[in-house]
Amino acid sequence: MIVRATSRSGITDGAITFNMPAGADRRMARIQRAACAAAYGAMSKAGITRVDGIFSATTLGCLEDTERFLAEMGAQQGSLLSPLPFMRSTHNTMAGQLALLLKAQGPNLTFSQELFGLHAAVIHARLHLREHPGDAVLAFAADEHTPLLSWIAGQLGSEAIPGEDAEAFVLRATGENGIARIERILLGEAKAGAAWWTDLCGSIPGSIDHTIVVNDLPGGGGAPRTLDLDEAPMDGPMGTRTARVLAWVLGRMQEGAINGRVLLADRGTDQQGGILVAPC
Amino acid sequence: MGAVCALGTGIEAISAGLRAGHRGLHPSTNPALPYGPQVFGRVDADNTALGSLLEGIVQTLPRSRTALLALLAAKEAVAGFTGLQDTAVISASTVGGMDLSETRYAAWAAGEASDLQDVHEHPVGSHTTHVARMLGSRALRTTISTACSSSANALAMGAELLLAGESDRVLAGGADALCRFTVEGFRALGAMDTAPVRPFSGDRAGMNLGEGAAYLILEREDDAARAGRTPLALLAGWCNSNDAHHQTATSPDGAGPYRAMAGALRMAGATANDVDHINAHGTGTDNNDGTELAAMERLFPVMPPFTSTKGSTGHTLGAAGALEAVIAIICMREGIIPASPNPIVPMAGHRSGPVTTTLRRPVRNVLSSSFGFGGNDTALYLTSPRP
Repeated sequence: MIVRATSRSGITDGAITFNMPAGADRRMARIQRAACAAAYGAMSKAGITRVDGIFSATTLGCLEDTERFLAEMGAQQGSLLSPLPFMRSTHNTMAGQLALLLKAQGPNLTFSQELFGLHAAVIHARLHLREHPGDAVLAFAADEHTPLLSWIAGQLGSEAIPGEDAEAFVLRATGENGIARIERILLGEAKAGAAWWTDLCGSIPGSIDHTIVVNDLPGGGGAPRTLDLDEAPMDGPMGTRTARVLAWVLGRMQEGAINGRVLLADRGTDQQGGILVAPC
Repeated sequence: MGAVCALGTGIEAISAGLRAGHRGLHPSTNPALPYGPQVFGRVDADNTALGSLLEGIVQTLPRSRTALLALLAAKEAVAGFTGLQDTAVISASTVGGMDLSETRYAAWAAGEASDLQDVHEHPVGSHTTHVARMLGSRALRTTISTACSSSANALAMGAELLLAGESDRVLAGGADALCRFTVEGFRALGAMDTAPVRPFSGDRAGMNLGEGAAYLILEREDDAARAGRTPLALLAGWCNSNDAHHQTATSPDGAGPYRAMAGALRMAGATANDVDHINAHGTGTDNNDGTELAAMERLFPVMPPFTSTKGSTGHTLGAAGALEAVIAIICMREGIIPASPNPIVPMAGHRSGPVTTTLRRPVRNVLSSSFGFGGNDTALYLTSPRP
């Protein structure tokens, strides 16, 4: 499977402009606009106007609308609420919105599992491309931030990096003009201590030229946080950070600044995973 | 396979309920819901009772009802299987631990750090982790959240992992608990009937929400045969297609539902004539039933007997696709086609209506549909195991 293009869109209160039908973003939440902007950006770079499948990932989904609906539930005991925040609260709001804009009638799936929605989305993209080798598909990750999320993270003493992000990738089975090849996607139960690192690397035949630990448990163990690519962007919400670093690695590969195979490794409280990429 | 829903806890109870034509829908005056009676398909056990059924089986009992329901159904599905460490877990949910979060939100939003550990159960995939831990699975686990088609998509992904050789065994399904968030949401959309649901009736007035969980073990046919296991059914075809029409409504001609149903049959190498029974999505909303029936009438020149079992279970949202796959298999095993709620008023402009009395006949091939927000349309085609 190859990556044809990547694109990022930060989430801001300002308008994000991208080439979509006029007025289409009127009823979109910020996270939807960001996901759509990233997707349109990646498609534009790949020189395509349609996709045959959309595979998305989110850790906490459309938090702002979820919270808005919860707040209205509390405030308006019994009276009828505005349905808009509810309609936009489902995790597949972004992928559904993109299907609507792109008239994309193919498979449309949204994955959420701690830090590993992206891994499952890319695995499903690969399953699709295996059956439909001529297709082009989108994979993206999007997460947004709210003050309540910051407060909860602070209370729990966990890592709270403010930031919001959407990162999209155009994937194909094979073909010309690829930035990089996704060789492997690893996903399994998290191992304690140093075992996770030997477990992850041990399942990859051949040499790994660069490794980046994108997320690890507090305290970590078994692997340095970044072996030799210490300028990789480690900000942004945990859920989309892997997508962001992946896009950064692909960009460096395109510039010729990174050669060889790169493993992006993540460990959460539940699972561990890896994405192995190499130049085309 | 294993399931829990308003018809009962466990496959035998649900089978008996379907045979007897029971309806699990009852008016509720839950004081947590600040308005008049609503009809719900509630699982008849509180969280303490659900937890007691899991004693000694899970190390940490979840507090979210979604996870409790998931564990109960998954426990039944894996009974008799050993060596589950390599079994992938593909689950599905729309709201995850919202049943818990919605009771804590006001305090948290006001800066009161009470019961903050409950936030760990909020993510939609939290119940999946509980299920995978109960199995001792060390393999791939993920959660699909595509609204009301979520667990149909989980079954399809499980099958694709098997076909690609990426997994040798998958536990696939989904869970959703009743919670105020979804009740208020569908009420705000004007999609809730305050009377028992009447799917595919001209006077239908919306859905009744339900809750439940259902899981199935998926294996390749030859692997099951080698292990001496007779499959309950074959998942012969599936298709997920996007309607690309509206965020929450289906296109008037049901183009997405049509593509999903036709795609599932095409994949199985089946034709419309092969279908013995359709377990329709049939939520009872004006939009769904009209567009779904339009799509079915276009696909089926001769309409097979179809039913909406949401008239018995309520709409279990993210659990519905897997629950209705389980019900399809029960229909094959029992040789029944359960009745949709009766009486119904024929729908204007349509030539077909649902089955209104339970039919007893051989059922070999069942098409099961699940459609969700975001134009997400999925159909599964299940067939009896080869003799």
